[in-house]
This record gives sequence, C-alpha cells and structure tokens, in this order.
Amino acid sequence: MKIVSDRSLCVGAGQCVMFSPNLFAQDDDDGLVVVLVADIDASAVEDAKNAVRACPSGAIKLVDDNGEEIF
Amino acid sequence: MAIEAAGTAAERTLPLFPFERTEMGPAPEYRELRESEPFKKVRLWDGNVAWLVTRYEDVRKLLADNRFSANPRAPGYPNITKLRKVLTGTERPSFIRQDPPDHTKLRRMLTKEFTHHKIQSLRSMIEQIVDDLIEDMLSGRRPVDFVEAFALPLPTQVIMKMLGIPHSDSEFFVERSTTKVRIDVDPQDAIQAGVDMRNFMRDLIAEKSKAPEKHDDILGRMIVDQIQPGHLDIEDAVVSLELLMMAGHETTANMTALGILSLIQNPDDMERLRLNQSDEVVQLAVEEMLRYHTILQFVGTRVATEDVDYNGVMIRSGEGILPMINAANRDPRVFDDPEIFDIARKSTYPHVAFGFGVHQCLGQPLARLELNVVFNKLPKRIPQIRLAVPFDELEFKRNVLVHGLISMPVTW
Ligand code: HEM
Ligand code: SF4
Repeated sequence: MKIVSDRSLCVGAGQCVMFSPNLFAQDDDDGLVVVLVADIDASAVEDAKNAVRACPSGAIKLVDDNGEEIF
Repeated sequence: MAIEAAGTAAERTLPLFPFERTEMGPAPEYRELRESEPFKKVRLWDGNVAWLVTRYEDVRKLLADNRFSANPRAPGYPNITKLRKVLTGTERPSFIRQDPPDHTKLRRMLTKEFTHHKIQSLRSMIEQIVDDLIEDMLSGRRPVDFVEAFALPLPTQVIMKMLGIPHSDSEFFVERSTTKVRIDVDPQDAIQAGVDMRNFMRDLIAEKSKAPEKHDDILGRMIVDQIQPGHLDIEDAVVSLELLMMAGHETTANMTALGILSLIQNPDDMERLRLNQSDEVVQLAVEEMLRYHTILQFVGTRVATEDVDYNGVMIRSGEGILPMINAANRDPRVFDDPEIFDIARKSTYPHVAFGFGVHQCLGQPLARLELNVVFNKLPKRIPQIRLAVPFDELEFKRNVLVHGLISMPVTW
C-alpha cells in the first residue's frame, strides 16, 4: 500500500503531521505536505488512515499496488 | 408567477436563523433537525433563504467542495447579520473570504509560518508568558477577571510577538478587534475599527520596510520574501496581517476561558489534569474543549456558484449554505453521547472546530500549543480556581461570531 499526495491541493493545515508524524512532515519552505514513508506496511495503515480522514483538502490518499484509490 | 408568489409566501414561514444558542452548547434546534431535516431551508434577517446543514458528514463534504464560494460579494451569499453584510461590502476581503486560486496564493505565503514544526519551536516563549501571567494573577487581587488577566493577554502577546507588533500596542488592537466582532455595535464603529487596524498595519509595514532584514518576525519576512520582490501587494499584506491579528487572539482567548469554565464545572477533570504528567492526556482534553465549545459558531457560510446535486438535494446556483460546525461537532453518528463533556473522548473522525476544506484554520497548531501549555500549567498552579459569582451571572457572548465569555470573575 502506498501514500500519495497532491501538493497542489494541500493547504498546509498540518493535520497529517499532527495525526501521523511518522509518515508526514511539512516542507519548511512552503508548509506543504511531504510524505516521509510512501510504501507502508500493515502496521502503519491505521495511522495513515487517520491522516487521510483529518486532511481538510483531500491532498493525501492511500492507493493499492495498481494505483487504485482505496482510502 | 403564481409559483413564485407561493414560494415567497412559503419562504416567509421558514424559521428565522440564527437560533438562540445556550451558554455551553449550540442551538437546541439542531438536535432535532439533524435527524428529521439535515438540509433545512431557513430565512435570514434580510429575507435571504439558505440551507442549514447539521450533520457532520454533510458539513465536511460541503466545506471541502470548491463549488461553494466563501466570497461575501458573490450573489446570494448568506450574511448572518446586517453588520457582517455592511463590513464585507465595504472592506477589502482577506483570504478567509476569497476562493482558490486567489485564496491559495495568499494563504501559501503564510503556511510556512504555521507549520507544526515551526510552531513547536515557540513552546518555551509561550510557557514563559503563561508562567508570568499566572504569577501576576497569584500575586494580584482576588477575585480577578480571568478573561482580562489571563485568557486575553496570552494569545494577544503571542501573536503580536510572532507578527512583530510592539507590545505597547496591544490595548489598541484588543479594543478595535473586540468592537469589530461584536454584533450589537453601530456599523460605523465597526467599520472605523477595521480602518484603524489597517492604517496601523500600513504604517508598520512602511516603518519596517526601512530595514526589514533586521526584523526576525512574520512581518519582516513578509516584506523581504513577498512584498519587495513584488509577489504581494501592500494592501493585501495589510489585510492578511489584520486577519492574523484578529483570528490569532479572539479565538484562543475565548477557548481558554470556556475551557477553564468546563474544568471548574467538572472538578474531577480539573483533578485529573492537576495530577497528570502525560502530554497525551492534555491533548485529548484540549480536543474535547475545542469540540464541545466550537467557539466559531457561524463560519463556513458559503454560496453555490453552480447547481449542486448533493445526494438528491438540489442546491441551486446562488443559494446559500450554512454548514454549522457546532452542529456537526455534536452529531451522535460520530461522537458518542455528544452532549457530554468527556476529556478522555476518542473518536474515529476528528472534530471540525477548526473548520474543513481549504479554509481550515491556518493557526490551529498555534492555538493547540497555546491551549496545551495552559491546560498543562493552570490546573497544577491554581487547582482551587473557582467562579467568584454564580454561574447565572456570567456574561456570555452568545450569538456573536465567536462565542465566549465577556468576563469571568474567579478566585481561589
Ligand atoms: C481555538 C482557537 C481557534 C479556533 C477555534 C479557530 C477556528 C477557525 C475556523 C473554524 C476557521 C475556518 C473559517 C471558515 O471556514 O470560514 C479558521 C480560519 C482561520 N484561522 Fe483560526 N481558529 C483559532 C485560532 C487561530 C489562531 C491562533 C490563528 C493565528 C493566526 C488563526 C488564524 C486563522 C486564519 C488565518 C484563518 C483563515 C484560513 C483560510 O481562510 O484559509 N486561528 N479558524
Ligand atoms: S493535512 Fe492535508 S492539507 Fe494539511 S498539510 Fe497534510 S496534506 Fe496538506
């Protein structure tokens, strides 16, 4: 499973970092999302989902190995 | 014609919005509407009709849908009060009232100042201010107005430091800003308050522009990175600074006072925080305070810029929507026993006290950190804090844009 981000949608609200600091950061220069760990294993799925649920702008999602959106 | 006349007559029978809220909760009407009519047409003071939305899921989806505009000059935009309409009709809008891409451009000039990481680096500065304010309270007279002695000065000092506005000007700002968000004030006074703040910001920009690199603050960096290279118009800078100043202190101040009030009312919670050594316990408590009080009660008003078919509800272009975040935050579909204040609450979906969509609060990491420091320290330093007047005598702001307490006499 993979985390993908779309920086053009990101509003730098930092929800992803607050909920899942192990998976996300914000760029110091523009405050936009940086995915720290793109390929995640089962143990990180719940963390990743929490970030996706909290993101206000739809800038991050989870995709399967074929690139299909799953969360 | 006949249909239109009938429609107008029918519209006159629609309930008048806003409904009266209670001290510690949103309008009781939301509870029933959420179940029976999650999309409810209501009438505003000027006869404009808008959709009141009360379920969490709907509120989030609508706030995240860019087919709805936050621009009060867009046709049909629902103005909650006459004063709002007058203000937004005369003032240059800040980015909170603009849509992408203009909104995106202006907001992004500031996102680096409010990242999680950057805000955490302010912790010791905030702790120092909180310690000093507590010392002053402890050595001062009792009873004392908690709002004036603590809740208001803390976020005011913090945001002024961050922006680079001299401390000596805090009274000026607090007074103007309070006037501007009131609803029972002469529109002319509110307009003047805005003019005063903006004039001040304009002068400050001019002053700092002489040697901007000397100023290690948001304004200094704004001048060097944005204004001087020509990315940012001075007038837009003025308006953004006013927004940060206002949004940065009114909000956290009200949240702090209401938060302490909740702890005073729930002594077990106060005790829990007093004994607590874990950051997570405080974090959860702060999130619950944010959810339960949802102080920004009328934000998120938007207008459809095209016809939107929302699960069968036809929202026509030019129709306003009122997705109420305080109603969403009490939706039992997401929050078990939503009317109960539970500082250990956990929910799968987070509350929307900071809004949702592209306008979600820029300052939330800062607000959270300030509240975190307060609720770490206050219950330990002044655990016996209690009201110095009966609850019934407290003066609440009620149907003002930002809910809170006008004053809160406390003693210990
Ligand atoms: C407890 C404290 C706070 C609460 C509950 C709160 C809540 C909110 C909400 C609900 C919105 C969305 C408005 C909308 O959708 O129209 C918002 C926007 C905003 N807030 Fe806060 N806020 C708080 C503190 C702060 C602080 C400390 C700052 C610091 C500067 C701040 C700056 C802003 C700004 C700039 C916006 C506009 C964002 C945009 O339009 O993109 N807020 N806030
Ligand atoms: S939560 Fe969403 S909008 Fe906020 S920084 Fe992360 S990706 Fe960007």
